[in-house]
Amino acid sequence: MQSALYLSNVTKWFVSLGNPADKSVAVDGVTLDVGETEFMAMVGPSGCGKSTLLRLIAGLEEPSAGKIYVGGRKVDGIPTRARNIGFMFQGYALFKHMSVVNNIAFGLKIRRVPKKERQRRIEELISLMGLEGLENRIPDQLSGGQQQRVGLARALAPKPSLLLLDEPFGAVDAKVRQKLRADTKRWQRELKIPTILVTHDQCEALELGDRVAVMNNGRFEQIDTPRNAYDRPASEFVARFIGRVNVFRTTFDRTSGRLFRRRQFEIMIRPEDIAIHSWNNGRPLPDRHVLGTIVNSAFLGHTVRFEVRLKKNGDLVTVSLPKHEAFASDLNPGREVSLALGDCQVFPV
Amino acid sequence: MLSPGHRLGSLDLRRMPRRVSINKFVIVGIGVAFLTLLVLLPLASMLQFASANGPRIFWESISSPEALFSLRFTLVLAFATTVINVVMGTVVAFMLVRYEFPFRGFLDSLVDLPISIPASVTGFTLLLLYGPLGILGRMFEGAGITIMFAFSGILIAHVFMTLPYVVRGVGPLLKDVDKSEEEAAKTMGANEIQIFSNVVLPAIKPGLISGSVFTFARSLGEFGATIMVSGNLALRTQTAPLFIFSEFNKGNIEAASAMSVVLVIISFALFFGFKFISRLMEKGESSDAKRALP
Repeated sequence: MQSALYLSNVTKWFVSLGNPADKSVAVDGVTLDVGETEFMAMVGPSGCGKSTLLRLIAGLEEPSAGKIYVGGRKVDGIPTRARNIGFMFQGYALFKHMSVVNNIAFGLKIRRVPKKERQRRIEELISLMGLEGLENRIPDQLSGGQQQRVGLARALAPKPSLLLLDEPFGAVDAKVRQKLRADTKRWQRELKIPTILVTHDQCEALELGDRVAVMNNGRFEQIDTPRNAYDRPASEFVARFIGRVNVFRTTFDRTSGRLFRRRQFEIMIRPEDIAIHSWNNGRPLPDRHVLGTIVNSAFLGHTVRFEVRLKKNGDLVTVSLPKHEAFASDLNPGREVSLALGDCQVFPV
Repeated sequence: MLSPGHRLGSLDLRRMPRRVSINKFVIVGIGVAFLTLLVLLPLASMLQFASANGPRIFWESISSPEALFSLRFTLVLAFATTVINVVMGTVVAFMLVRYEFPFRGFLDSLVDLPISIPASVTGFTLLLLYGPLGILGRMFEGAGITIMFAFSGILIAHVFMTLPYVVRGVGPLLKDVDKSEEEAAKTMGANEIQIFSNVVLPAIKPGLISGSVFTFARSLGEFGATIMVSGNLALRTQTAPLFIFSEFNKGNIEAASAMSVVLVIISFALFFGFKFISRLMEKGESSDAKRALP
C-alpha cells in the first residue's frame, strides 16, 4: 500500500517570546504512515499536540525537525497553498460574507478551474452533501450540521490529495453529530480520499477510524485498529483514555503468576469484562470470584452500569451488562453480588 | 396578570403609561430644542444670508475665480487625503492589530494624537519641521521642493489630522477577522493578495467606508492646521474654509455664506450617502453573498 502521508520523526517546539531558551514541545518525534484510502483517527486529550500535528501537515506551521511526505512528495518548505490538502477547521471557518455556493466554489475559482467544470463539481458536492435548496444562504442562516456539510464540501471541492478534519463534530448537538459521523464515514469510503480526523472524543475515533492513533504529550502511545486499541491497549494511558476501565493496584502479576515483592502493577479491566451474579449468603463462593454490594445502577439505553463496592477492601468497581441480561437477573442497589474478572491488562507502575 | 387599572400598593398602574409619555415628551422636547439652537438655527441663518440678495448674487459669489479655485482645491485635497489614509490607515491598523513589537502601545496611542491636540498646534509643529527654518524643510528646499505654503504641505497636515478615522474604523473589524478563515483560504490555494481581497477586505469594508467618509468630511472642513501651513494665498493655497474666513474678514458676508452653503450641502450629501450605503450593505449582505461566483 502506497503512503498518502508519511511523517518521519516530526517535532515541533514553540519558543517563548521573552525567553528563547524556554521551549515547549508540542509534537515530539512523531512517525506515522497513512494509507491511500485510509481513515486515520487521531485521538488524545486537549493540548496533546494533535491539532498542531494537523497544522504541520497542512503547512500552517513549520516543523522544528523531521520530514513530511504527502503522496510520496516531500512537502517541507512548500507553502500551504501548493500542498493540495483539504482542511476542515474546528468551527468550520466558513467565509461569513459568501453564500454556500460561493464558499464551495472558492478553491476552484482560486485554482482557475474552467466555469463548466466548476459548476459540475459544485452540483456534485451539493448533491452528495444533501445541501440542495441551501445554495444561496450565507453561513449565519445555516444550522451547525449544515455548516459542517458546507465546510466539508468546500474542503473537498478542489479534489485534495489528503483531507484533514480538525474536531469536525464539536459544534453540533449529539443527535446531529451521530448522523454526521455516519455520513462522513460513508462519504470518505465513496470518495476514497485519505483522511485524518483529529478528535478528543474516543467514541468518534473508534467509530470512524480504520486505525486509531492515540496521542499523549506530543507522542503516539499506540497506532492500531480500533479493536486492538480497545482490547489490547499498549500503555496504561491508552487503557485509561479509550473506554471505561477499572484499575486495581497489586504486587501480583496475573499473566506470569509470579509474585513481585518490590514491584507494583496496575490491573485494568473493562466494565463489560467482569461477570456479575446475584449471590445468596451461605452459598460457597466459586474460585476466583469476589464478593461485593451494588451501590448504584444507571440505565444507559443498550446497557446498564453498576457500581459495586467490594467486601474485601471497599474498592468501587464498575460493571456493565447488556440491558436484557441486567433486567433478567435481580440486580438492584443493595443486592449482594459475586464478581468474576475476565480479560485484563497488566501494566507496571 | 395585572391590568392597567390594578393598584399595587400605592402604585397606580393606570398612571404609568401617561408618565412614560410625559418623559418621552420632555426628552424629545429638550433634544429637539438643543439641536434647533445648535444646528438648525445657525444653518437657517446662513441660508438666509446666502439667499438674501437673490440667486444671482449667490451664483456670482460662488462662481468667482477665487471661490471656484478654493472649492476645487478643497475637493482635490480631501480626495487625496482620503486615498492616502485609506491605504496608510489600513497599513497602520494591520501593524497595530496583527503584529507584536516593542512600543506598540505607545504607537497605538500616537494614532489618536491628532484628535487630542489643537489643530493650530499641529500646523505649527509641521511648519517648524517642514518650513523654511525646519530641518526637513531646508533639506527639501535644497532639492528644489517646497513643502510649506504649497499643496504638499497642506496635504501632509490633512493626512495627519485625519489619520485616526481609518485606523480606528478598520482596527476593531480587523481584530474580529477569524484567522482560521484566512488559513482555510490558504489551504484552498489562495495567495496573500487573494486572501486579503477575498477574506479580509469584505470584513473590514464597513470600517473603510466609514473611515473614508469621516476623513473626507474632516479634510473638507479643516481650518486650524491649514491656515498655519498654507499661508492662505488666494488662487494658490486657499481652501474653501479659508475662503469663508477671508471673505468674512473682508465683510463679504454673501460670499462667505454662499460657500458655507455649498460646503454644508456637500457634507450632507456625503453623510446621507454614507447612511444610505450602510443601510444597503446591511440589507444587501445576504443578497450580495448570493451573487453566484461560478
